[in-house]
Amino acid sequence: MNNCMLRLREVTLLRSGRPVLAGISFDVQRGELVALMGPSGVGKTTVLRVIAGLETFDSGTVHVEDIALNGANGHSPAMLRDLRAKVGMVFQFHHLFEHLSVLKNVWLAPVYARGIPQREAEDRARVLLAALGVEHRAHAFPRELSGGEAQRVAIARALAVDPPLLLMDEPTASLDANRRGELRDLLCTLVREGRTLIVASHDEEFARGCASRVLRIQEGFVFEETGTT
Amino acid sequence: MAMFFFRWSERRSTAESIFPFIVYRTHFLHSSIRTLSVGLVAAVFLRPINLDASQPAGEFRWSGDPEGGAPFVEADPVHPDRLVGFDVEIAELLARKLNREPRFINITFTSIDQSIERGDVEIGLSGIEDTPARRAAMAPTIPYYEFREVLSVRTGDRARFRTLADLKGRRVGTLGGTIAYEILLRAEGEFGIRPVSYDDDVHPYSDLVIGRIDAVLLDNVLAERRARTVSGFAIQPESVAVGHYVGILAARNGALRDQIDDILRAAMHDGTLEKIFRKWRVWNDDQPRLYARVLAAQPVAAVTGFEASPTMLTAWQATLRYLPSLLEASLVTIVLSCLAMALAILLGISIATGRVYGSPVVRALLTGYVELIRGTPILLQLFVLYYGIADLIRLPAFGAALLGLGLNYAAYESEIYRGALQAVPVGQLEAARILGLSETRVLTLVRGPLALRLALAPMTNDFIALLKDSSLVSVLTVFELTKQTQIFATNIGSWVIPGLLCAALYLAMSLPLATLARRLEQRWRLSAV
Repeated sequence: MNNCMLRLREVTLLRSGRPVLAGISFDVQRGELVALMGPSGVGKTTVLRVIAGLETFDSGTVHVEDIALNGANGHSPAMLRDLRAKVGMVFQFHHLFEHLSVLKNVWLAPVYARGIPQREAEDRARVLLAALGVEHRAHAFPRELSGGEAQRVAIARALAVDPPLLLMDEPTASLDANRRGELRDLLCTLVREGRTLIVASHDEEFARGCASRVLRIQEGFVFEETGTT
Repeated sequence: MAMFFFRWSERRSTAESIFPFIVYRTHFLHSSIRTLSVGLVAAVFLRPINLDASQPAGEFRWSGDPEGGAPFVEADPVHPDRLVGFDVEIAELLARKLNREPRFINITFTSIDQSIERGDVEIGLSGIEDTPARRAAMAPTIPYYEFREVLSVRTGDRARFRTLADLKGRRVGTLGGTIAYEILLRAEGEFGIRPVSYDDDVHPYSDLVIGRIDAVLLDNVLAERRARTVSGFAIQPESVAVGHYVGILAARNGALRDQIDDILRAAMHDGTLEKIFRKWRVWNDDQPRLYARVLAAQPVAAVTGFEASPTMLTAWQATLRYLPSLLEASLVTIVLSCLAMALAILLGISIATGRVYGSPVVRALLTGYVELIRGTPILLQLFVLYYGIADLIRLPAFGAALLGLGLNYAAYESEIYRGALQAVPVGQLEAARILGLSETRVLTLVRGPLALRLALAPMTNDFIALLKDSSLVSVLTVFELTKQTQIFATNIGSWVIPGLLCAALYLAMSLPLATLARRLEQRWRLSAV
């Protein structure tokens, strides 16, 4: 795959006999920021969930670097374990762990999934929270955060396990114009650091302002737009 | 009310014939609940009602407790819908002489006094002991039978346990609410014995034989009857005290009592009583001497050989006397409830986890356990644990109570936890999985803690229910708060003060728990997740 981080080939997914994904194929190269666009309900989130292994699919293949997910065979636990070392995801509704503080939300996975010592993971979490401008909320609980703060904590949590491929679902949904600008800068920084990003959004202005490439989903198929930055 | 008792009595007789073991034991629960609720409410809000006037003139309503069994009152083994026993025959004799029809009302032994006072029946006849307290508060008949309190010990212990003084530090069983129990309480202070109260006169002897207790103190009538069917124990020849059986009536029924006394005297004189007692093989040389004194109008002491409580205590005296034992019983209740709940939570979590994550076989087995426990009465489970499997595993009473309550509540807890686990939002689980946490880590770090918050309110509810259900373990001789209250009420002849004290103690235990749970809920309050 050389420089290819992600490759989807003829991925189909049926729900109640209706095709949600009707055989989509696309590649994403390392260090790219790809925007996945389309109106609400068109299947953007489903594509991200398929890539993240949260959803099985009926046919086709998904390759994340050297890991191959096959629609016909399902996902084995070992395959998912390997996949999750490479793919991170920020959900539209954040899904921060409601019973844990912001700081613990961020250091939980590094300690219990990656075996990093807690002190080290906590220090790293504080650095991430500071970089995202929410260090002062380290001891707050998710219910006490604004939408923008929750968004940044969710990003910090996803980055804490250092995934080479980061998926973001509607990241601007709860942000005002200023915050959208800050998020765009942040995503550019992440790409400069060598990370690969796929951002599903129906926010045209945001997507076109930061993405190196735009993929548009329509009626279960993916089309590539030309002329993006 | 009359119809209720009549029907209940009939139903019980039928059920007893089908499954006597269960009916026999669950009777305690029925009686406890009925006495606690109806008795207390009636005592607080109503003046004593004289129902005698409303009873059909042709009926002679008498009460007894077939749990006492032969030779007093029992269901006829051949025709279980009929009652037999010497007290049954005496009741029939009295009814015949009064030109009335005998009507039996089934009332648990320890509640007969209160029921008579309420006016449910006119007379109680069920091996009821003559006591100074009854003489002061009620209208007992002349004594019609003299018995001796005798000590029974295992055959091998016959030489070393001759008297109560020989039983220091040993467990001695008897029937609660009797003179024998009062003697044991006195001996606890004098000789350091450990009294064990039973609700029936069968299990003291079976527990004696298998070594759960070291002696039984009961009437010679009961001891001799049991010796005919149970081997392995011997009755010591020396009497601990001498008492008498009487019929008891409400104090306001003095005129009827006098009529009954005349009938009993005539039956002593013409040999009718002797004939009855001979038929039941309980006639002995003590009875002619008793009858001679009675017919000569000589005074007969209620009890000899033991100084029973002379009169009814005042409310304040009774409270002071019983409060320490109520507090001690409360301690048993709270310790037992806390330990049982801890066991129920641990098992409940395991069962719920198995049902959510386990293989189909594991899920089926655990579902079977939950349905078995939820589908059978907790009393039955307690009896099986304590008495049913005693030949295989001889659990101590407290251990059986703890295990019984814990295993029972685990089934209910598991359903709460299963529901809570399934109610944790999928988004939380997916967020944990995408971070690379294993399913075990997802459960212990995210799903479990979130489910616990959802389960907290029903768990608190269950703990408070368990606190009250712990009263059921008194059938295993564990002396908890409700049992102690029942003895208190029986001894003073009223449920008002014991009931109020008991309620206050239960509230004192449950209210802080409810408050703590509310605070935790507030602390753990979740936003929409």
